[in-house]
Amino acid sequence: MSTDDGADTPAEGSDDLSESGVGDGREKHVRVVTAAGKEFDHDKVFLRHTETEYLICADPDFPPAETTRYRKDDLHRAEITQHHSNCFITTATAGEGPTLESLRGFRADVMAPTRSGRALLRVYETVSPPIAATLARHPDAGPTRAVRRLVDTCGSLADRRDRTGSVGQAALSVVLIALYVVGVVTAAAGHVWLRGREASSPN
Amino acid sequence: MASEAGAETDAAESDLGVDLDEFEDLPTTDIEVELHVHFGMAGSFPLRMADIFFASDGLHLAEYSYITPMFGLGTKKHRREASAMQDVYDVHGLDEVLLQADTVYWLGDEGIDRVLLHRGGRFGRPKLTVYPADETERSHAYRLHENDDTDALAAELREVADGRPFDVVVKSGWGFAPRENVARFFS
Repeated sequence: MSTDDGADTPAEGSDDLSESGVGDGREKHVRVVTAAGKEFDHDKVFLRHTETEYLICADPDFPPAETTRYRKDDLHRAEITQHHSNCFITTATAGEGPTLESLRGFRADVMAPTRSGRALLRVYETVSPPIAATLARHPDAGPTRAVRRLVDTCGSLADRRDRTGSVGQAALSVVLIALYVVGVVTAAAGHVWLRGREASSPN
Repeated sequence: MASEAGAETDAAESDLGVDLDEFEDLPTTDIEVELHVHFGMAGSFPLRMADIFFASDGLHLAEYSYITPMFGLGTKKHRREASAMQDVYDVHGLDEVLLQADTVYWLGDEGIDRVLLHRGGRFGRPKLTVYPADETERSHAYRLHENDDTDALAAELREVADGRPFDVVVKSGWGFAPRENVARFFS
């Protein structure tokens, strides 16, 4: 099947795409913009690329019927990110689980739809990786435990927010965003302190 | 430093003492690198490192490593990381650099409006900015930390752009544009 916007989904029986071009076993986020200006987002996918096309599939074996192919000639742009999930402070301190799911819901419902919320998320996503790496190396350190407590509190508040009326939701949203700022500042301060301790330790 | 297709050397052994024949059978895209601009840096906290590849299929901007001002720059982590990525390129070529990078921006030739090179001057490093054809998309700007010969780089960029639909503009000065930086951060 071929579409006018640059994306092709091949018919069954095509060549073995898992051997086509170059790729690896890491999940990625891929955003492409076609020459016609259409955007396509693919989250948690595997990618292979050749000189002429990108192949994107949620299955690492790239079954032809499930693989989306973009000809580079039809694209203006592609963005490929392969952050590890523990690049983010929340995951590095609290791990995967219900807390993370609650905060993801808050991010999607409250922060992502607004401009100021997106700006805050952008700051968080940008500063997180080095801070998260430091906190992950010191899971029992005081700053990491403090950030973990804040994250857990935010997760509980996000759950409570989902169960309250509109006035309560607005109030809890403000509290959550304030705690988010406090959490990022605490994590950044913890990063500086822990890195300083690492630098001064003999090993 | 700008270099051409470091991995396409005929020598069977690289400067690192690695036998390049060992990697002969690995899959390859056969993308040909026409100009490699090594050791760019972008952002502030954290700084991102980047290698820039003008290639036969378009422009690849490979961003890697997070450098914090105090413990990254202070311990010269940026130089170690840049050197390591250069080694990856020398031994394995572009394909492996794109796999190792944690963010890759690819722009087709038609997706680029212009490439702007600021020479830097006495107080600043040269700066390379890529403006996309679609002005609503983010531009990409990198300070170049291993390139002092901007005349040579400008000539190489013009050579790459010859026959392609984007322009190369060369300006003096260090190209500090705070509003543009903020817009780029939030885009």
